[in-house]
Amino acid sequence: MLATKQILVWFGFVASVLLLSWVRMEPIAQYQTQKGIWASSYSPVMDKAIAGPIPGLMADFRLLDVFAIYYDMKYAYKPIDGQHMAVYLNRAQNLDPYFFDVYRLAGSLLAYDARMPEASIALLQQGITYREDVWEFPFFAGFIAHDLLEDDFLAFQLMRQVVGREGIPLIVLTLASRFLEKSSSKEDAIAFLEGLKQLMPSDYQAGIQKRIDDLRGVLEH
Amino acid sequence: MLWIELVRLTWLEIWQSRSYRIMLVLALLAPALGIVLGSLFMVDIGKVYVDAIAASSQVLAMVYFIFLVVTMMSRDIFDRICYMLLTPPVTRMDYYIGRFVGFQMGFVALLLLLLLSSAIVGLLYIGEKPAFYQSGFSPWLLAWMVFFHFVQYISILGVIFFIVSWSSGNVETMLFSIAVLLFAWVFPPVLKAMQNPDVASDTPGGVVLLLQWVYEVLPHLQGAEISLSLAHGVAISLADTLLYVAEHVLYALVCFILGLLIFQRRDL
Repeated sequence: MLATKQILVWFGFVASVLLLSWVRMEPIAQYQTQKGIWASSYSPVMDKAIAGPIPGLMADFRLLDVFAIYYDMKYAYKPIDGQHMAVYLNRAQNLDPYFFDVYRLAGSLLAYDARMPEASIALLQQGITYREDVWEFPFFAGFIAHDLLEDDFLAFQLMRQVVGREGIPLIVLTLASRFLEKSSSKEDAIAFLEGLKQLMPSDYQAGIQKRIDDLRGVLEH
Repeated sequence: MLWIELVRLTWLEIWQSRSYRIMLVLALLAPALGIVLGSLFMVDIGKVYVDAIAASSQVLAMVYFIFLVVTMMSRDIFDRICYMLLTPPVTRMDYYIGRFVGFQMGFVALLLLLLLSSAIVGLLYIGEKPAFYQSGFSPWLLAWMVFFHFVQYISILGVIFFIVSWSSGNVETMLFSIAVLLFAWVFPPVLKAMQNPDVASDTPGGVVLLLQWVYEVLPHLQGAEISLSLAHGVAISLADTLLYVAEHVLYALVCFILGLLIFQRRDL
């Protein structure tokens, strides 16, 4: 009886090891956010290691640090504060790349109070990859490129990424086409307008189609 | 079926311990941390609340396993309390299974209390806010998250039973148990960093291979990443859930059986 029990125990052990090896060959990759680790030079790997089992809470704390920097900055602006804010926002993004508040602050405080539009756009661009459901990030990034960097071509390139996302207000598309008119690439303009046309109900497509035809006419001549 | 009696005994022992009751009180108070943190944020309040509950659950789990389970198992074996239990007809297998299931029951009770308190407070606190501030919060997501934490710590309990089976004292057991937890967190980011071309070119191939082997021996604790997804209202697919459960149950089984085999031959 004892021998049978022992054989069963050993059999269970070998079977479990084999099954475990098989299960581990199928990684649960979809929910791992490790691809963000090297996304930014501000985000050391150790941040993730130290956060250990509580990355969400640590990301929240990094944002509280950003608020603290903001209040310091409000009373006496020092350029170094802006750099600190960028570092802490990147750390929070590294720990929790889906955190909406990180991108919201990147598009507002980092761009306008810390006066770091390049860092702000870089962060928002990461948000475009992670939050595919949101149209605000390409819009914020594009608007900052237009407003602070005065680079309308970059603004258009950023804003065109809203095409295909849900719930886009018409103003975003209008603004994007306006930046597009100022930028020089006609092929991009046509591609963008084609995408835009798909989004619009058929009753509203005539104006866009006319603009596409005009641009095609300019390219052909 | 003597192990069922040992499950009952283990539960009574846990229930009588003052540290466990303090943990239960902390589980009741954990939502307060969520409210305090949530009130400091502008928009993603539901997400911050879930983060606080996830952190409380992880910290409570660590305290439970390191300070209660390890201490009780060490006391059993090194202070020879188990002599009272290991008399015929109770076998060492009965003892090991009874203790394992009993400790799991204590952990489930702790998590259920945390889930209950955080779901009620969450419904009252987050539920009354406009949907824009809730960031996908629902009590079901909390329950789902607590379930993932529970499954993850089955592996840790298995590791603790394996370590207890061969270690020579209380301090050694605690040291190795904490080391397993620390390594399990630190290894994934370090291994990922090594895939960076700059780092990979400077690291000898043998070192990378060795680290990968060590990582394969450790439990893969993905509960934190999963609770992050759940905090944003992103549901986990059934296939991934099954894989996750299978991995942790099998890992615990491997450690438990190995521990049992060593414990059966141990000179007590």
